[in-house]
Amino acid sequence: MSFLRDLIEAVVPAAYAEEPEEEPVEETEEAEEEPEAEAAGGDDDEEEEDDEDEDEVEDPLVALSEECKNSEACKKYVHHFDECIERVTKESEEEGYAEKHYKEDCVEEFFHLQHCVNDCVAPRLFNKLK
Amino acid sequence: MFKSSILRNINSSMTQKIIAGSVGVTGLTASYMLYQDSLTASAMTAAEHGLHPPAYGWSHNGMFETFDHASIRRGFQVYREVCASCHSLERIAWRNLVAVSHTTTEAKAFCEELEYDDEPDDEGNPRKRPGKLADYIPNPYENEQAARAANQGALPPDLSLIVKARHGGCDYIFSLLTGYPEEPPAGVALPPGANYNPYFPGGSIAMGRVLFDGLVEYEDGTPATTSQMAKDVTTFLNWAAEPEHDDRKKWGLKAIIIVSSLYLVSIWVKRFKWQPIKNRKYRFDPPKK
Repeated sequence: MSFLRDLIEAVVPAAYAEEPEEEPVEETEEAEEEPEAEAAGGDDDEEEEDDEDEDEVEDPLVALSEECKNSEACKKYVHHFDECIERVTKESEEEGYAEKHYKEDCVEEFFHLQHCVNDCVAPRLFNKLK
Repeated sequence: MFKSSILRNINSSMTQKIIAGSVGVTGLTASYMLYQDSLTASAMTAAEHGLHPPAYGWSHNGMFETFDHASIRRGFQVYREVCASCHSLERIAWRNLVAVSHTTTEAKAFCEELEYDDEPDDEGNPRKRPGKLADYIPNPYENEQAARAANQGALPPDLSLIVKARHGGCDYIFSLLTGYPEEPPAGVALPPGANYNPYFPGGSIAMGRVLFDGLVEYEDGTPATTSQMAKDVTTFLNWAAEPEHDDRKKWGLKAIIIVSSLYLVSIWVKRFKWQPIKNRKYRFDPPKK
């Protein structure tokens, strides 16, 4: 659509208005009031969050990543990450941990999990934002 | 004669064995040490590179897509209310906002709130004047030293070109702003005053999480969620880095149309010119005897 519009605008001289009082806001959808009480993932399509007049707004990113984290694809990464946390926490409680030459961390496990979550969140998140 | 040659032979074979043996021992020791070192290597790790941001569906991604200017307007609000307390935007003047995100009167109202240095008066005393459209957006700090002193030695980078200056561009900025985990993964040791962000190379970043739900109040009623604010401010910063973006794509489109029609015309002209030549027929009439 914008291709056609550009084409037309390139040929036909466009007229500009004389500075409106307020910049016209595009796509002001009158969304229904839908306060979402729980963050638990599961409802993915019915999240209309536009134009809520309440102060308490919920970030679609939080709900989405929670949902993706619990999805089947990311299950094994969550498992590895949890296991790593357990292992490292246990190790850090041992004696002489501070003097250890090499201390394991869970960055790699976290990255793998986050990669999985991102791949799941990224194509969907911007549909929920304005 | 015979004896001494045997002795020499033994001698040389002994020397060879010793040399071969010492080379072997040295090689094995070196390999073992390298192997031991590789077990605990901390260079070129994933953490050092930072988590790669995913590709988000920016509305200005396409070849013919322009910026979402409503988003730029909201993003400027986020910059002004949140980022501007630490980050400068040196290359953007108030006049740049006119006709992009704000009207002339709105931009004037912004800069007139501020004071800029004026020419000194007749006695040489420095004076101040209200800002003009041609003034640049002021820096939060006087200079780099002041900025470092206020931020525990870390310098908040100038944001004018930040989208161009970072790998991943918009995706990186958006991910960085929204990617602060509640706590760093187990085993990560951070220097004092640092925060953990997986997208920042090395993971330890001086900037803390700044965007929280409902931090700003958008004038168009958009819910100010963390991700919404991050998206808007990233779009704004992309505009700041590439103010020519919309025009560039428009010119590109025009260039494609004109160049491709000229190409078609040139094909037609070529065929037109060559037609009599291509359609020539050679005939050989042998001379009659």
